[in-house]
Amino acid sequence: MQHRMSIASYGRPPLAVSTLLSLSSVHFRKERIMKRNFKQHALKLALVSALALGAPVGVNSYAAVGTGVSTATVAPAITISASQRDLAFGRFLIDATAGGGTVVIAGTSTGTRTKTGTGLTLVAASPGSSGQFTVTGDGGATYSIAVAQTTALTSGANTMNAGTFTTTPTPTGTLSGSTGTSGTQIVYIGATLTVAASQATGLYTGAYTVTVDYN
Amino acid sequence: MAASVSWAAVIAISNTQGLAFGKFVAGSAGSVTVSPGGVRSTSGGVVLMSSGAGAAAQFAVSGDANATYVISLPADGTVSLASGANSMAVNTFTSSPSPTGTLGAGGTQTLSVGATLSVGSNQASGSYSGSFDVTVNYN
Repeated sequence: MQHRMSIASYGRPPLAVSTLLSLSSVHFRKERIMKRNFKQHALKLALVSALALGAPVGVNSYAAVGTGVSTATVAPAITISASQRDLAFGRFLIDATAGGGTVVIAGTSTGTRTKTGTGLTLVAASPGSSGQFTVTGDGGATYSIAVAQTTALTSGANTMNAGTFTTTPTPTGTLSGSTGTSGTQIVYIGATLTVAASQATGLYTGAYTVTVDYN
Repeated sequence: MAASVSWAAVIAISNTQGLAFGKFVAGSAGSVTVSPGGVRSTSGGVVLMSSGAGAAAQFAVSGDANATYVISLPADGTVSLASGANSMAVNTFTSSPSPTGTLGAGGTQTLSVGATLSVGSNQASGSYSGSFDVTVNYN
């Protein structure tokens, strides 16, 4: 049955099929011979069709593979120490009749103190200091430094504002060493304290926040 | 017909630029995605560092002028980057063009590939690397 179907599928005239269908003992042997012949014919046809199909199948063997490299670098988190030295404006006197002024601590390692206003007199024995922090992170990385713009120092109910913060380095720092190793850098903070002529005496304290972030 | 195929230039592909996820800090878990255009984006607790830029991979595909071809990217779960004992999975590969490309009149085209890197919570710091395969074939 399979053979007949394949014969039909290869375009044998319907007449030939009907001849095969009229089976008799006499024709049976002939039919077997015919079947064999058809089988060979079918095989040949199959080979031809395989060659025809060979074109698209052959293209698949031309597939090309490219290997790409992929990389990523996970950096250690950047951290900043607790204050290692207070930002201090030191001790100073106010002559209320001469007006107020400002006390400036430079944002450098030495934290040099200066003042404006004739009513202010700096006490040299208490010179103040710049603030100091250590930043730690991925060696060689650059980072930004930000300080709140204004912060209040209080003494009981009395206040003075510190502002205009300056830093070294500024505005970005670079950690020591090279990437893949731990790097550090010291950051110095300075600021300007605004003192009113009527500023009450006392010990004023406040807090400020330094934020560092990788660039 | 068979003869014309046999004369076709063999399609070839070579990697000309690596797929770089760049430098970043891993806080909580998240991911870094590089688009075929080379733009980095993140999810979760990953913070990108501009000092270590990312880049899409680039491949040079060459073959028959004006021929179209199919691009096969790595399946999810098959590619990872390693740094010693630590690893990160790379999934969701994307490409441009996609999913097929067309070689130019000169028989070449640049194929860009991006993907998404999964970053673990407090992923150990270090330099990670790995490789991936891109297959091209005439269609």
